[in-house]
Formats: sequence, structure tokens, C-alpha cells
Amino acid sequence: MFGKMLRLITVFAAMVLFVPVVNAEPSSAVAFDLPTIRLLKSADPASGEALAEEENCAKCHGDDGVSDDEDDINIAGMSASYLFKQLRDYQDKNRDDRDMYKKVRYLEDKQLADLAVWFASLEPAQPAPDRIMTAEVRKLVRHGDPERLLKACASCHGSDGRGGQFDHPALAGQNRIYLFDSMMAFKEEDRTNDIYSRMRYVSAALTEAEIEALADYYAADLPEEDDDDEDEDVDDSEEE
Amino acid sequence: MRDPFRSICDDDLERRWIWISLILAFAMGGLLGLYAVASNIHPPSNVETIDSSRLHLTEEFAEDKLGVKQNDDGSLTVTMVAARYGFFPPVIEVPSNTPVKFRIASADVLHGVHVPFTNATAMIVPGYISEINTSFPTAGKYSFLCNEYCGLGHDSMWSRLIVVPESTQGK
Repeated sequence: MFGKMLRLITVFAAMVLFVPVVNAEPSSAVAFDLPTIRLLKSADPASGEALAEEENCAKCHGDDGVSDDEDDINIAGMSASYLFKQLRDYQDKNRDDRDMYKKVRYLEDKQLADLAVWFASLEPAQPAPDRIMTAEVRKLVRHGDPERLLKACASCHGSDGRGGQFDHPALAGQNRIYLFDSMMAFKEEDRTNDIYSRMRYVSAALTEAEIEALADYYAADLPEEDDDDEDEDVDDSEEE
Repeated sequence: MRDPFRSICDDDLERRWIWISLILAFAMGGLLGLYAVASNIHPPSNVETIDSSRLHLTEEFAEDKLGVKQNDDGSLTVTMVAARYGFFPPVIEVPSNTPVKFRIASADVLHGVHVPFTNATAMIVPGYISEINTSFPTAGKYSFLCNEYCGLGHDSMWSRLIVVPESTQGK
């Protein structure tokens, strides 16, 4: 009995000790190599639209990719490469979300690419027209903070927050709570699908108050606002 | 034999100096060529190829393989990635007066790396691994700067190198 227990303990200890020897999984299995780029270029938005209806994406992401719920991401108008990467990451469990995993687990790469190009083709949500860029936000967005090794948001996400190449998503027009939760998830390492920890380094250097201020700045119009006077008074105080 | 330069120049002295300058230019070129072949001189960069678009999925530049590693002979190898817009990992700490070999690859476009006040500098060409062999005699805080325009965030592309005094390393 004692010998059996000892053997079990030895095996368990060997397993625990062996863990650091095994290579850590990459944060994402997606690489923007030629086959991936060709896959996205040849993707069919019409098939993506049909698939989106079948999978009932509208339930969380809204009929046209703009969600009513501030917890959910607006996916309309985001780059196809970013959307494809996130879908693959959900499928590979590199980005943790039970609901999304269940939706995409049996889909093929071609279907994921179709979905990505369909949602990329939709009109994105607009940032709040009356948003104010405080001096603190301006510093973070435009210049970063070299002392904290903090990059300017604009360097990767674009000067207008409309996103950059490949896996740099658009922030402008995103839901406030989703933005805040995402940055906090990177900060607390609950989300780890950013290749080479790029967002984890940035979020770790930001304070919670700064993350809140940035989410406020980039956020979309609140859904409850009236659309009637939308063409009046479009004064983006970001302009200098 | 008729001087071929006679058709463009009548002056004897001028033609003589044309010949002298041509002979000098060819002699210097020949000398440099001979020296390069005899001393086995290669282009300054390390010529070693890698697929930049799949860099994080390669063995050497996988995310958990980056950083400082000690070699058997006491020297250090630092594996880094340059990607828009930063060097990863963003903080590197090495001891002074220790041979360091940096192995850097780009994950996207053409970058450069330069550590001001030291002799560490290289161009980081996508598809190739750049190597810098150096050591840092003076302890202090340095920066890695990108010195090849790589996009709109180029001016944000820096990270930190900390050179600690040799005796305090690891204590």
C-alpha cells in the first residue's frame, strides 16, 4: 500500500517537474503568411452573411455587427484579418470564451474567413461625436510614456483609432465596457492571444483609471441616444 | 599603338593623368577584391534566413524563447524580435564587460536597431536573422532605437537595455 502510494507520488512529482521542459504554446496559431492572406482574399462575403445568419451572430453582435449590449464587441467594419485571427483563436482556445468556442469549433478556416470578410464589409459604428480628448488621454493616444515603456495607442491602432494592419483592431466606435474589459483582461493576463504580449505589456503599464479614460475616449455613441440629430453638431474635439 | 583617349583629349599631360587615375582605381578595386577573398570577408550582416511571417511559430523566436540566455563559455545570447512598434522583450538586462550576442529578427517589415553610446547597431531585414556581437563596458540604462523608418509608429519604437555592473549581476 505504502509502496503504491510512493510510486503514485513519484509519478505525480515527475509530471509536475516535466511541465517546464515542455514548450509553452504560442499565444496564437495564426500567422499572416501567404496561405492566410490568400484565404482572406478569396473569401466570400455572401457565404459569410449566410453563415452569420445560420450561427445567429446577431444575437450578441447586433443585426449589422453593431451590438446593443455594451459588454459585446462591435464587429462591423473591423479588418478581416483581425476578425479571422480572433475566430481561429477562439477555436484553438487561445482566446477563452465558452460561447464563441461553441459557435466556431466545427467551422473550417474557409468559413471563418467568409465570416470575417462579411463583417469587415459592414459599416462600422462611429465614435461619439462629442468626445473630449483630455490632456491625459492625448498624451497616451499620441505620445505614450517613454518612462513606462508605454507606446502611443495611435502607433498601432491608427491616429484616428480605425485600426492598423493584420491584428491591430479598430478602437474608435467600440463599446465602452467591452474596451475596458478587454484592456483589463490583457492587464490581468486573462486574455493572452496577443502575439509577443504586445497588448499585455501596454495594459500592464496603464493604470485602471487610464484604461477607463481611454475606453471613454474611443467608445461609440451610446445606443440609447436619438439618431434624429446625428448630422448636426458633428464636432470632434479631437481635431486640433 | 594609338592612344584611345586622343580622340577626346589633345593634351599629352592630361591624357597621362587620365591613365594614372584609371590605373589607380582598378588597382585599388583589385586590391580590395583580393583582400576580401584572402581574408574570407563576408557582408557585415549575418546571412541566415527565417520566415518572418511565421516568426512566433518558429522554434528560436517562439514567445517563450526570447530574452537572455547564458552560454557554456559564460557569454550571453539575447534573442529578440523587432515588430511594429517595439522590440520584444521590452527590457533586456545584461552584465557589463561580458560578450553578448544579439540575435534579432523582424516579424513584419524592415527595422533597424541602434543602442546609442555603444557600437551595437544593425539593420533588421525581414526574412533574415541579424546578429550583433558586442560587450558593454559601461553600466547604465540604454535604449534600443529603431533607426529604419518602419511605419507611422516608428518614432515610438524603442525599448530598454540595462547594463548592470559585472559584479552585481545575479546577486
